Amino acid sequence: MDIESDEALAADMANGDAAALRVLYDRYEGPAFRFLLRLTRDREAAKDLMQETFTRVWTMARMFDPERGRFKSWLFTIALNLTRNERSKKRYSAIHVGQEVVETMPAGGEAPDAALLQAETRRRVSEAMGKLPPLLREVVVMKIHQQLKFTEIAEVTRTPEGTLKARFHRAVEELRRHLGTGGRR
Amino acid sequence: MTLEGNRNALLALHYREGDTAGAAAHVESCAECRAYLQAIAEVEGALGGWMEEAPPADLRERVLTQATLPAQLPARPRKKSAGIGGAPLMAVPPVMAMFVIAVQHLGTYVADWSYWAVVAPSLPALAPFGVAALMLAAVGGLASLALAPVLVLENRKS
Repeated sequence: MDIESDEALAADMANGDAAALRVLYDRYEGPAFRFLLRLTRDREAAKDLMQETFTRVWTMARMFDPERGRFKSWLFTIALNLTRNERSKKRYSAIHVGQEVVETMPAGGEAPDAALLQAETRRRVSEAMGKLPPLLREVVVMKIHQQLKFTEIAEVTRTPEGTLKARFHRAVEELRRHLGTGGRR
Repeated sequence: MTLEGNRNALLALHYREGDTAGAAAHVESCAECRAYLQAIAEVEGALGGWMEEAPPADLRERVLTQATLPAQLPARPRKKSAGIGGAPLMAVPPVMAMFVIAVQHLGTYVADWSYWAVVAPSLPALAPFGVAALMLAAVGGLASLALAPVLVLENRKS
């Protein structure tokens, strides 16, 4: 059986087919949630933004034009814009590093030293990412974590590729400095 | 090839995006560029697995239920305006007729002013009607300016 493309499902969704929305949700739940979580570093904010993102995907389905880009880019554009809006309202300005560390600590089975080391590493990464300016953090999350191509990131952010690459270089240098792996001073 | 001028080529090489043959050959003989690629790899290694969390189990149900509530029906895209529609054009003849009638009445009234006989006896007989037309145009312009903000707000609402 052929797998229906995202774009075909989006067309079905535009005609009010809720089943198409469910299929698209299942395809993108993980990537979209982690994308929002990494941008906000706040689990509750990420959950709320998931709600808003998919509500918009459903209500704005008729606005999606496959000739202007792929569904995946459209989805991430919506998620990114909502995140930026929320950030401008400072709804998730607090860093929930401590909570994240506690939640991800293994319940048992792993040596306490290894668990602490892992938690410490996560804390440092979270802090380093938190220190990055939002535009640099966005490009790092999309490139390293979401593994999007620069052409795709350009589509999502409506930003020239050259600008994105310059941001990425800056982000790499800053992260090396914050993480203590090297970098220029 | 220098590092500063070609870091984008190194990114293309690292992520296998676009033409990488030239950069690959260069990196073989350039320690600085190799070090930069190493730096990217180190950062990737440090960030790997960060917030690699699964969504909460109840999120799917919550999102899909809320998203497809009856109030959240997919919206129809706004039709693009095809310029001036037919309705405003239909209104032009009656408005013009009303304007001519109003000019005629106001012009007759203005012509009765003693001003025309005393100060400007040499002006053509149609001058009072010209003044009347100007007065009506001025009133119409002022009314449009006064209504503009309301019309703009109404347009945004729709």
